[in-house]
Amino acid sequence: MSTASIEIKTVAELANAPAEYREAAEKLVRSHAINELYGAQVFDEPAVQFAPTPYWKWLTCRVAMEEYGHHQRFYRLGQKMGIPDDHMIPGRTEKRPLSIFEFEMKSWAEFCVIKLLADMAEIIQVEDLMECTFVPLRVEAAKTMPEEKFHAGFGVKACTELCKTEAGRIEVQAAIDALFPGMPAFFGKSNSKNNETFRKWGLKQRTNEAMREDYIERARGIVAKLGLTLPAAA
Amino acid sequence: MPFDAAIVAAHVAAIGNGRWFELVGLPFSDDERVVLAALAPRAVRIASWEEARRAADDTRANPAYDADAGEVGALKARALAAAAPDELLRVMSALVDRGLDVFHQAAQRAAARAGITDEELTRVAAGAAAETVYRGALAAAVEGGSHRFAVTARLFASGRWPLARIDDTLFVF
Repeated sequence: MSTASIEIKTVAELANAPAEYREAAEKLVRSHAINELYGAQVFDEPAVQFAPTPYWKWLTCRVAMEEYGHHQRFYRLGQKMGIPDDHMIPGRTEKRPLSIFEFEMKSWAEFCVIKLLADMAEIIQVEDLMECTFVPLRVEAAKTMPEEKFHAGFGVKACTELCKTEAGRIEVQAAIDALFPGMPAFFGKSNSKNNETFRKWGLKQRTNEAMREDYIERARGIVAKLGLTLPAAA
Repeated sequence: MPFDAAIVAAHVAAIGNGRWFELVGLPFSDDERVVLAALAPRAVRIASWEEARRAADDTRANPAYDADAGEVGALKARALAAAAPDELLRVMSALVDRGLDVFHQAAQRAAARAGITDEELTRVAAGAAAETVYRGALAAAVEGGSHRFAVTARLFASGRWPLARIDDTLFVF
């Protein structure tokens, strides 16, 4: 649906882009800066206490650092774009983090499922950004992708370990049942005006609905490999 | 002693000069034995990355880890009595920023020297370095450089990886 044949190669070039393009690019960068940091704060850092051994605690600590590093990438890009610092820090901006972060994590199994399912959603979003017409954002997305894939792989491995026992399998299924219904909302509303604008300028390639459907299919596949099932989406 | 942000800043500046993971697996020197004696009644050398993985993944190390986590909470509470939460976050986040690439790249280099290419294990090592440096800087800023967290952080920066304490034994890579 992209109607614009535009490619903005540098932040400096952004100044000459149409106002609607600039505003849309800023929205995307702000959103990623806010949500990467908030995710690290509400999920990854607190999960260290739940991890079963120092090995997993340090791995979780590293994952939290990498999520924080993703925030830093988008934050620094935002600074270059002239976005005020306070607009990219959760708690200082009036923009709310994604609703998925309202999930109240209470166990290691829940954290592992967050890595399994929420980081897969992030991968789908970042895949889309890797095609975007604002090249500096495309570059940051490409740098972020290998770590996002590692984090999702962490979720697969940790859930697989847990599922080796019946008690662990039950716990992972319960965590999936609790987390998954809220996940499709991660992709935004159907018929979203923002998404329409993003696609108009090639900042995003796919509709929220298309990404959501893709996500549900991938999630169903990965959960099936664990011998578990997805509940209905909310 | 109030929270001294300048001490944390000095730890941030020193990260680039650390010998992260350079001595892992090697026999202890006499100087190291003195440091280790201050940390635990007994120190055992871990000789390989495979052994390091097993030691870090030993649930018997959890009580000592949990005790240290409790001490971190107490140190943070004392720091927050002297510094605003935003200020403490800003000062301590600089450690994370500086160590983000340094620790992982150093772990990758050290593992590669031993013929190990394991992205998970090197991330575990980097996470351990970050946590230890964070705790060491916090302890030094609140209580001074003789706190055991500060001693452990210096041992880490010298090229070792203190892995796990089980009962009276500290396992060090």
